[in-house]
Order: sequence, then structure tokens, then C-alpha cells
Amino acid sequence: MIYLFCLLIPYLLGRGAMRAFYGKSPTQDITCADSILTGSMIIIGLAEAAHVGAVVLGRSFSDCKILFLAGLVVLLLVAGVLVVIEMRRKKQEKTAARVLPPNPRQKEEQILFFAFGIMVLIQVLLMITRQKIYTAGDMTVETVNTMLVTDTIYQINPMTGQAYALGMPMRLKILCLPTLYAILCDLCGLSAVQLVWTVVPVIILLGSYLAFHTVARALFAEDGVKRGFFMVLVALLLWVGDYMYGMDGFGVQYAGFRGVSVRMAILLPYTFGLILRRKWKPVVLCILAEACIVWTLYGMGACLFVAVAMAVSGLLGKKLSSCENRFRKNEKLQGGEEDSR
Amino acid sequence: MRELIRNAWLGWQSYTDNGKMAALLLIALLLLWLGRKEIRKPYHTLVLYTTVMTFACICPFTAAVLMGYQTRFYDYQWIWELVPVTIVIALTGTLLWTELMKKYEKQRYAGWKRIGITALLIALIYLCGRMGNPVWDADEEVRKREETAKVLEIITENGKNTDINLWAPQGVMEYVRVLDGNIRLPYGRNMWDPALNGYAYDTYGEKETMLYRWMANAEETGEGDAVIETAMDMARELGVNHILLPGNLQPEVLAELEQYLGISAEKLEGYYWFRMES
Repeated sequence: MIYLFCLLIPYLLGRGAMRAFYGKSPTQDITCADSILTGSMIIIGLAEAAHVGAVVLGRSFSDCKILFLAGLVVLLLVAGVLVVIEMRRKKQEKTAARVLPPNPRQKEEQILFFAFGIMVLIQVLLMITRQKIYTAGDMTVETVNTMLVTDTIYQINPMTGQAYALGMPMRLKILCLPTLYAILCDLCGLSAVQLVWTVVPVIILLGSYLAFHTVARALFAEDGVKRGFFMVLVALLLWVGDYMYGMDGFGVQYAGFRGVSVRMAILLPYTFGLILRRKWKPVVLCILAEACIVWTLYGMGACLFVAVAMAVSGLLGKKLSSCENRFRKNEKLQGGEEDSR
Repeated sequence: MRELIRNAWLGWQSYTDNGKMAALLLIALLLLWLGRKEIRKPYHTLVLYTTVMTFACICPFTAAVLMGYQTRFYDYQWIWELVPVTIVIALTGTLLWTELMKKYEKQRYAGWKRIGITALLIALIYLCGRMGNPVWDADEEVRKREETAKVLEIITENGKNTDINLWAPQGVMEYVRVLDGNIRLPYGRNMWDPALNGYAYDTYGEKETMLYRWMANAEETGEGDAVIETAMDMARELGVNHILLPGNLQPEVLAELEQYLGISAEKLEGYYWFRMES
């Protein structure tokens, strides 16, 4: 059930969204990873809508769950229609599909991706067996437990189980991640500890590698060997860089369920992956997803910053290189004039 | 602002104290800028962005501005999220590896040399981190959590008793609400983890604070820091119906408590357990 949620449903939603974003334009560089990640962000958006609706109207957690599921069914139907249309079009185009030339370095690529797979497998096993969870400054499990036991959303203090006297700040009340986890717990029959501390971190780790893979595709579009080695290094860096809270590796390995970890491990790498491929439309989803799960400066979070700063860097880079080219041309011309004299 | 700048400066020192990822990033950027231009060219935007952001995170003034942007709720290290550290180190490593592989492609013992280079590169990255040894004591937390789970199993009679308001030592209270959402507490983890107080407007009153101090003192010295009767009355006022006291409690304090509460303590996994009628 949980893997259905985390793989198939996001994939279908994401594919539909990609179709909606890019219509009939060529979508060769839109991969399975793009679909899963985009679909996951749509699920976050849906959870946010249901969550905010329930909080504003003062409804129970059960009502929120029903709202979420109803929304999900509608979105799945829409995505299903879009995917069927796309598949039909692809079927027609299949006859004209180009045949890829054989890859002489396929074996090398396979070895690298095999090594990467082994590293990921060990990381997943260690995460499941060691159960090392960094809980300082976080109360996600307590919040999920409270929602499940009391059927309320943010009305009971998760720290004590007593009703809030003054309540929570609105900027935190709008964050939907605990509600999404509680819905998943309820649907899958898992305890909050099982889902939040075991299942979710594994999903976030795998999602993180999907996001980094989109970066690898953007950086080395034509070279599978380079992509393979890049992914091996990413796995190694996430593994060894786990020494301190705030590091990429620490977030995915010991606090994968937190909003900040999702942002750091998935949303930001995916934003880079999209920007490097000049796919700006799904970046908007990254920015919105971040605002739904992390406390930001009125919605202006890290993804928006990265998107704007990367756009400025791109323009600056172009300007610099055109200046450099002009300077070189002038130098050449001057050199030529001096030679002719 | 001055405090923010100070935090940024101290944050950078602490960021570089435990591991060497920041150093690895600086080496990676140096290699990218000093290397051949045609290698860097396809990644120019990314390299330019990373370079500017790295220096913005290191310089205390710009770091303070970035800390303001990410809201003051987060510490210094979170501004490094804006720098694609993992991506750029992996990119540089891949480009370096590719160049070296090409260089040794047609040499004698090419296979061994290539394996050696790959191993060297991996070892270099390995030495910059701690691989599975984070700076906090994770094993101790796992042990305490398991211990608390055993205690709660007995107190709740395997989950049958849901009307429980428990007052216990910090080590137990830490994990109670994590393991069982039905159990209520007079005060929670935010009493000793102040970062959690940012999530709500509610604060603790005098009674809760006193109970916390009494228990902390009992754990440390074997006796509370206030009159037993006062502490127990406050616990009752807050609705506590189960009390778990540390195993090192002085026998005279225990006897006094038993007399005052009119019930005998039971021994439970190294604690004294009082079941009170609510």
C-alpha cells in the first residue's frame, strides 16, 4: 500500500502533470524520475489543500483524510486521461522512433550503476536496522500520534497530550507534512514510529537519489559512464557527510522525515536538475511544495532563491562570455592589423 | 544584526570543525576554475552560482543576510542548503576521474592505474566525513527508547489502559508521546529541548516547572528539591495518576512518599512505580 502511494500514484500524477505542462512538445528528456518527483509534489499540494481546509474550517482529521482521498481520486482520473492520450500519441509515433546506436561502454556503465545500487542497498538496510533517529527540535511523531489518537489537527499539544491553551503560530499551522504522514499511517495500518522513522526516511533517501539522477542527466546527458560515476560519488558523499545536523547526508540518514530534509534531499537537487535542463514550469511546483512543508519567509524559500539566483547566474555567465568573446575578437583584429603593418 | 553576524561567524567555525566537506567543496571549485575552460564551459552557470553562494555563506555579513532570509528559526548551517555542495563535489570528482581515465587509457598497466585512481578519489572523499559516526550519541538514544517501550508496555498493561497521565524521569518522558499517543504528561520534551517551544504559543506554568525540577533533582541526588507533599499535591492538581520515580531514590524519601500517598511503590525496570487513583 505504502509503495503504491510512493511509486505508482506519484508516477501517474507526475506523468499527467508533465503532459499538462509540456503538451505535445517533445518530452524525450522527461524521465520516470521526473514523473515520480513531480507527482510527489502534487500529493504534497493535495495534502496541503486538505489540511488547510480542515484547519480553517475546524474539521476533524477524519474529514481531512476524506477530503484528501476525494481529491486524489479526482486527480488520478484527470492524470489517467492525460496519460492515455499521451500513450495513444506515442503509439502512433512509434513507427518513426529512432534506433539508438550500440553503446561501446555499456559494461562500464553497468558496473558503476551496480556499485551505486549496492551502496544504496546497504544504506537502506543500515537505516532500517540501526534506527538512528535525530529527534532534537522535532516533534513529528508525537504530532502524528496525537492526530491519530484524538482525531484533531493541531488542537492538542503533541508534547503533553493536553489541549492547547494559546495554540500554534499560523505560519506553522499551515504546514501539512504531519497530516500527510497521519493519513498514510491510517491508510496503511502502520504506527507513527514505523511510518515516520522507518518507511518515510527510506522513501526520502530513494527520492533523493532520483532527484540527483535528474541532475546527473542534466550534467551528462549523453554519457552514461559519467552519470554512473556521478551517482556513485553522490551516494558516497551522502554516506560520509552524515557527521552533523544540517549536512545533506545527515538529513537523509537520520532525519529523513523532516520538512527541511525533504527540501534539502529532494526539492533542491530536483530544482537544480530542472533548471540545468531549462525546465522552468515544474520548478514552480518545487517552490510551492517547499512552502507547504517548511517554514519559509512568507513562501520565499530556498527553491525560489535557487531558481532566481541560477537564472541571474545564467544571464551573467552569458554576458561574461560574450564580453570575453568580444575582447578576444578585438585582440585578434588588433593583432591582425599589427601583422599587416 | 550584530548578533546575527556573530552567529554566522561562529556557525562557520562549527560547520568546519567536525568534517571537511566545506574544504572539499573549496578544492572542487578551485579545480573547476583553474582547470581547462572547455571542461568547465557546459557547467558555467552552476559553477558561477556555487562560487558566489559559497563565498556568501563564508563571509559573515552576507551569511547574516542569508540567515535573515531563511527566517531566524533556523541555524547557520541551513544557509548551506543554498549551495549545491554534493552536486559540485560529485561533478568535479567525475570530471577529474574522466580526465585521469583518459590520460592512463593507453599506458602500461592501464587497468591497475585506473583502479588505483578510482580508489584514491573515493578514499579522499571518505576521509572528509565520518561515515556512520555522527556527532551525537545515537546508540544511547536507541537504548533509552527501547527501555521506555518496555516500561510503557507494563504501565499500559499492553495498551489496555488508556487513561494515563504519567510523571516520570526525563529519560522516560522523552519517548512516552513518541511511543504512545494515548498517554498524557504534565510537561513534555519541550521543557528541556527549548527549540520545540517555537512550535506553540503555550508555555509552562510554575507547577509544571516545579515538578520538572523536583524530578531532575530526584534523579541526581535521590531526593527532590522541595517538600514532598507540595510536589505530590501539584502532580495531583495536574491530573497525574501514574508516577515513576528513579531507582536511586533514598529509602527515607520513598517511605515518606508511600506514607503520604497511602500506596506502596512497585519496582518496575529499575524505577519505583506509584499507581494512583485519578
